[in-house]
Amino acid sequence: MKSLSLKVDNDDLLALETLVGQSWRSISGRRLVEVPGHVLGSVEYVTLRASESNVEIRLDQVCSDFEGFEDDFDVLQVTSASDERSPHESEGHIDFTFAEQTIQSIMLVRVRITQKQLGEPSWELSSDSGFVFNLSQGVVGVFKATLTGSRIFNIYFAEKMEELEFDDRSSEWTEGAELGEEYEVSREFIPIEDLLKPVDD
Amino acid sequence: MGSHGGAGYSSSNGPGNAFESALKSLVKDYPLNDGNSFGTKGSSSRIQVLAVDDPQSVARLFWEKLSSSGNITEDSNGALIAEFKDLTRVIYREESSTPGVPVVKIVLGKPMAGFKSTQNIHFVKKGSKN
Repeated sequence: MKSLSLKVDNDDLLALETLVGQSWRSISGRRLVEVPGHVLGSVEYVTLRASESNVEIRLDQVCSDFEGFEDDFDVLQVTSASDERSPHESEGHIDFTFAEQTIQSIMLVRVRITQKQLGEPSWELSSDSGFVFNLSQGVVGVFKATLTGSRIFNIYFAEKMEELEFDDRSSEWTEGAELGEEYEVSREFIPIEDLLKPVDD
Repeated sequence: MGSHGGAGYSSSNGPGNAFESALKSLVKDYPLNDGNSFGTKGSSSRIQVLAVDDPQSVARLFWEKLSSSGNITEDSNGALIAEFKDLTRVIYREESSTPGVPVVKIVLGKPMAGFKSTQNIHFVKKGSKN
């Protein structure tokens, strides 16, 4: 069975982990004219600013033929960001929702899609699809807008985890399923500290 | 997980009347197939192929109609992206990985009855082997 695994590197998770315990300041992406004052999405990258450090979450692309033909898929990357304004911030595309709230924990969202042909697994895609930031009185989700290549983020805000919007985008496959073709879809919300724990042999 | 954000705002219920009218107008000229998507099945059921006389101009027509009411930006690879208030996106690439084949990708922010929610449309010349 062919497979593609698009996991976030440990170094990237470590960069993200530095934010835990800090105060949330802002997130920048692209504002839409219909929704003034807020950022609901972004192209290529978002910048998160906290009281003591900043990170940039970026979408890169890889090409894979695990489905039997070549196509692009988005991969999450996280790096430290400088205090200098990003191009988005310079243009005013900043959202201060939940500013000054403490970042209590961060979860990684992992989506796994398995295609079965006549009951037999034919390929599997495992894609780290985004992050959920649990703040003292709110939640922010930064997710891939598609699992295939678009390099676009969706950004969601909610007061509680149960109210946070999330679309795993498995419909990219399931909606067009042909006769004899089935898809199993799972999604996990994994605390990043669990991913950073040493693994016993 | 709920369907609405609770922080006082959220993505709205649809991309707007102008987008939906543009889509209807394209469907009139380029009818949807049984899977509620444009064209015919390509390399897989998630890729559609639309065979036309002039792929570049028809792809451009799709982009111009669908993006007319959106917020337009360009990524560093030269793709044009139109964004809408419900997080619907239309992405236009003049060339896909196959030279001479433009692509329009439609990603609906919310499901729309009778329309596949992610469409990756490759425009090829009628009679070509692409």
